[in-house]
Amino acid sequence: MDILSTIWLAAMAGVTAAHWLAPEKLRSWVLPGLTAALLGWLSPLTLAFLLLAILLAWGSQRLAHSGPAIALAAMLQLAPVIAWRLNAQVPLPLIEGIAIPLGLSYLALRGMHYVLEAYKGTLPRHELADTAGYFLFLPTITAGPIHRFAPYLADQRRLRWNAALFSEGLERILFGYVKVTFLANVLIDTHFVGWIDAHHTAQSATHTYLTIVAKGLNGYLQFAGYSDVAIGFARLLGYRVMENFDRPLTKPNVQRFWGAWHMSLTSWCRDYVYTPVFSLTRARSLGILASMAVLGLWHEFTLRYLAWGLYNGAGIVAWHQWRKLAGERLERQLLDKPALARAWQVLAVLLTVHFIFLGFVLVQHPSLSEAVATWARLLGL
Amino acid sequence: MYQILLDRFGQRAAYWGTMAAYALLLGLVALSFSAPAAEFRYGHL
Repeated sequence: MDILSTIWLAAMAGVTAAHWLAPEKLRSWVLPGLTAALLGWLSPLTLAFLLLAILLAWGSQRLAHSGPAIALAAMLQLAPVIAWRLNAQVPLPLIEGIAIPLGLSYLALRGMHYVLEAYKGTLPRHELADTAGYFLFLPTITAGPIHRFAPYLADQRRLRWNAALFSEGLERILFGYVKVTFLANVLIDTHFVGWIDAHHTAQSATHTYLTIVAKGLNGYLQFAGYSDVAIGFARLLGYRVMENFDRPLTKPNVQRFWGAWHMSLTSWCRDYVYTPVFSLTRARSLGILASMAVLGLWHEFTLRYLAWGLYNGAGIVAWHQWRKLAGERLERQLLDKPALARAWQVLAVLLTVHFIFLGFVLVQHPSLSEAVATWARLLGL
Repeated sequence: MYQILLDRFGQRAAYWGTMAAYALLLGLVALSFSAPAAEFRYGHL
């Protein structure tokens, strides 16, 4: 269900109209009901997994006092996505040849979040209908953000028509479509890439470098645009979904970049991977590497995505080391030299963006050896 | 957008500025909508 498809546009308009025109008592049922109907029509398998996830989540909430039951529930929330990820490498019986259900990876993370928060006892009191509404939330089903249950429920309970929020939603959707259609598809992917191909010899260092930049910008604009549309659609319905991007390409170090890129995923990894690993081992570097490895493997169970996660994790660890050894002292020295401090800031942003874009090369090619060959071409090798 | 313009240029300029910006952006989207879409894998995760 692509945001550029007629079905998506019609769904946004139809669901929003039905949501607000429905009697207030029925309103909380309209969105999950229409989401289920739409998915049942487009992808019954996706609907089946969503319904299973809802039942499993609700059941786990009732058994939250039992550690083993919660561990089993969390594993079962994760099992479908693990199966499809493995199936992409080695065909598995039952699911061989069946395309991954829509948004299954996002569903797994929402499911794990719900189950683990149930175990921690932090979920607000709610009914089965609220759990169903959380999982059957159309705006974020296909491409996130991975919103959390408590803020969802708070919005759901105080759902009222809010013209200002509705207007913000429309504006946000417009900005999202500008990013995806005009900036990414036309300016970057058609004109910029066309200009690179026309003016630079293929495989040359300059061609390779500019292509890496184009792909990095394109990836950012596409994903940020998709998130804008999802966040805007949620606002049309009266919900404030967490942000997914906070100008990541302006951040001066890798740690802050990852705090501003796909924030709903990085905060998930922080809460459910980094924090437990750090609590158990007291080793910050290990926690960082573990959470970035999980972040990579969430995309795909391959060596290249593991390498990409560890590359970024190593970048964050190296930045912490640099800061401890020299960075903090340098920042103090630049306090009374504003011009130099600004220049250092610009240099730091450029270095960070290049580190990140060079890392993307690892996952832009089918194999690691091709990615390494691309890096080598940058050096004229 | 309206609020940013309102803080700097006043109500009338903010209103017309916002309307003009929306019209321009809508036009760009309309013209670009059928451009070939680059592969975007997050929608398929």
